[in-house]
Amino acid sequence: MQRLFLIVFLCLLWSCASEGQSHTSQNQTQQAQKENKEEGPEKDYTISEADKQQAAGNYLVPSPGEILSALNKLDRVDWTQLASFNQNANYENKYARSLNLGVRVADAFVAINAEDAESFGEMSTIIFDLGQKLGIGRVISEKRADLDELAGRGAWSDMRAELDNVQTEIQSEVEALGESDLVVLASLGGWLEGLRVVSGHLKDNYSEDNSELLNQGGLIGYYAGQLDGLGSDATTNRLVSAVRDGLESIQSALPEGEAAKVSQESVQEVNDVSSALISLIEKG
Amino acid sequence: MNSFFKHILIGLTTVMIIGLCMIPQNGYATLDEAKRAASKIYYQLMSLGFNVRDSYSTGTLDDGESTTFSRTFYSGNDYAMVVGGCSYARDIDVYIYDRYWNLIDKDTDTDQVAVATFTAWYTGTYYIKIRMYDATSDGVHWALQYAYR
Repeated sequence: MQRLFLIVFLCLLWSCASEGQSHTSQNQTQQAQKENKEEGPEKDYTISEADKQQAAGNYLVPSPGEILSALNKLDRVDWTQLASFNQNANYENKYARSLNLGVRVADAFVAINAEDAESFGEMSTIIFDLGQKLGIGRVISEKRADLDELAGRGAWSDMRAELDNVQTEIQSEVEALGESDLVVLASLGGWLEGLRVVSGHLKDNYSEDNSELLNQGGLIGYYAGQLDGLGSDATTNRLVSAVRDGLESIQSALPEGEAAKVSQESVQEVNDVSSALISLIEKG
Repeated sequence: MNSFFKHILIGLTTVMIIGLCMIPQNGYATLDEAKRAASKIYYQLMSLGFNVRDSYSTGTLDDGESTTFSRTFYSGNDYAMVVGGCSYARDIDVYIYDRYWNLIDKDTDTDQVAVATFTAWYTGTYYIKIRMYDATSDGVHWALQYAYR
């Protein structure tokens, strides 16, 4: 009986040893492949049709702070004249609150660029109020304390980074509540206000080169697709529906193809449409 | 219990434990690892004046696999795209292409973190490709973080 056990045990040991050997050999093969990759010809950067198709469906959304930062580099801008800093926080439904939350975050970026502590404080209060009504007040409250501390020190550059993070935090908290439609609307509100502010500056200070900042056909297409994919309660909402139509108008005001020059008339039209939409959003 | 069966039971249990230890455990290589890898250069970018976003785009890739995104960048801004992989990632790369799919920047170092930096010279669509060039397993976590100034 003991001999039988010995045979079984030896078989098991042999099996383990073979497995180990096979792994060693596999590791050696992987190592060889790795070395080939490192020492071989330069890596392949070519793009396939599948890559292109995948990219068309995978869109990453920029922060409203980015377009304002770009404008700040291209031109001298009187930021204080560009934002309305609307202080209304009373809206009847979550769609209006979300769109307005995005708009106020963009206005807080404008206040930072203007180094206007008072307007920043006002926007911070409205962002907090809207966040509370959307059920994410606690998170925003913590971030607000950090922002207020930075504002007190006049650390404008750090505030820009912190506000970017507040926006991210808002989006992930709203998402965590299972309200992904509201994330789209808050993002869209911020983008629209950024577009209104930039086109507002460009219409009075037109330059063909700088007006290129409005060439955002890809992003407009992305937002239009996102709005079309919202739940039926959202798509039938009066305000959301008006914003969806407004995106069409902005798209048609811009020249076809992202590389085309944006005329002064186009800048004016984009500003007219985006101003009307922001006015509608702020009214609720 | 008969001593023969007792020995067999002990032998089989030992072999099963050894076998389980040899199965690759992807659960230990996490998304948090990938995020930590990406955030390794957070302070370096901050010290260079970049606004580093706290948000991540995330996913998993098999060894040799890639994923591609579109994104609008704004003319005049500097951008840094940072991709981190979990501990199963041995070599992760990131490539940036312009609207005509010309390669404009790349990170092809052989490590767990890839960084591509560039100045957007036009406003519009650019493309970002993340490639898991070499990994010890499939389903490897990656996290993309971006910064601008």
